[in-house]
Amino acid sequence: MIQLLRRRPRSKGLELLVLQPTPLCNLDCSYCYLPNRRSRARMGVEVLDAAAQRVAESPFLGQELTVVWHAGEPLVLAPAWYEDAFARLERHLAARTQLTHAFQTNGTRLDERWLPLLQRSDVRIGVSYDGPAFLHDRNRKRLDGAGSHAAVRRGMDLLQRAGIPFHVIAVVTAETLAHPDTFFHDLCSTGAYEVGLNFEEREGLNHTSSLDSAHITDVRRFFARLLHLTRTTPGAPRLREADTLSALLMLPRTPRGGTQENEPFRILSVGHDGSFSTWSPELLEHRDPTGASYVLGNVLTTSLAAAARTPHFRALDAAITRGRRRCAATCAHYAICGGGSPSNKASELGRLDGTETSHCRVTRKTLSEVVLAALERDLTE
Amino acid sequence: MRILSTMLRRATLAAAALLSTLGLATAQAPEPSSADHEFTARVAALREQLAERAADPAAQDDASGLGYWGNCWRNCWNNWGNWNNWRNWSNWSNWCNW
Repeated sequence: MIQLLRRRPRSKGLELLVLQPTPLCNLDCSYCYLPNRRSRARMGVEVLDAAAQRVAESPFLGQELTVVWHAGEPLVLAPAWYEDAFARLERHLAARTQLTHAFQTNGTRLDERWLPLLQRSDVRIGVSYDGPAFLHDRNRKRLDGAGSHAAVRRGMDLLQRAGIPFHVIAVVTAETLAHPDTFFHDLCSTGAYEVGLNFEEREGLNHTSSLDSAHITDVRRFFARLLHLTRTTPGAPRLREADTLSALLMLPRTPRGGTQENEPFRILSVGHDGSFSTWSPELLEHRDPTGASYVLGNVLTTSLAAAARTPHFRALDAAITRGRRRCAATCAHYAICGGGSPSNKASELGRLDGTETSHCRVTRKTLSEVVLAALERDLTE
Repeated sequence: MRILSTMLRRATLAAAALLSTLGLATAQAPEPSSADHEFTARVAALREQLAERAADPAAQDDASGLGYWGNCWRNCWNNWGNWNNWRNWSNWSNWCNW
């Protein structure tokens, strides 16, 4: 018994199950980090059943589990595929945990056929949309090179008419920084209840970011303006970064431990072929600079507990933990960060045990200073 | 030029990974700067101010006057009494929400 307890990897419980229904995407966004976007492979029912079974039998399952359909455009498959997939997951897991499904889609394939699935109470949807056409179409292109803006707007209009709440995730590039007002007003017109900002990252296949050449003061000015507009415009969508960072800044004290991305088996990512990994979902399809993979096993042949006992897992986990602890020891912003993202460290620094990345400097340091200044101003007035 | 810089970057990353694997390199951890110390002090001051507000029964549920932050305050206040809700970062470090 003692040996069993000792062998059980530490985990605070599985919170996210990221499933790749297919690597295929019908767009060719210039900043996409995913390889194999032209592959028409799809997750077979044997992989789906095995993934659910591995999770159900694992020591990591908690009371709630969000299934994220990701790592390709999920809506290139038909609604019937998901109806079957949801039923299979429920068969294995619904008695043990409360399941929620989440789609992050490029929105171009949304039509009436999707509405019954998306109207289910256990389904959430987010649309990837970069704002006005002159910003969106610069990067989010169809395979023929044409922009996708008009199709995404049609998709969001459909959701709005059907009364389906949705959030928007917008990639912010160097070009976006010069247009905070236009960007904000366009996003207000989508009907989204929340906007999240993904500042373009150097990650995976995206070896350079337009933000590499941007000055950090431009990021600060852009976000401060956006926050001001959000706080002063009635009915504006919530700003994810402001909500998340303000909550962390308001906490009575800094939480212990790490985050979903830097502690094992709080996220499980399963590829269409059954290969799996944990920590940052991006790691599933990345390789380190020496060409080694972060894959820990395949759900068809390996249990999660067995994967967690391998030297490969232990070496990766030790490096990630070392990196997180270094962050905690050396960075004041650990209080609102929790030790950074292993996939950004791997992509930017070439190592998992590194500390500061440009992703940290933009999304944690710069944005938190803007939020802190706004909180200080508002709470002392 | 872009191809050359990508190749150079990849070679640098590969060398760093190899040195790390061989245990010949230590991660560069920046020392806290004066800006870091200032940030820490400001966060501590904010938290102290909020603790005072939380201790005042009249203000506990009163988010009026906080404008945009009212929702965040209510959410925070509802969880202040239950540290377990916070200590795992579970609500605020959700990969799919970032």
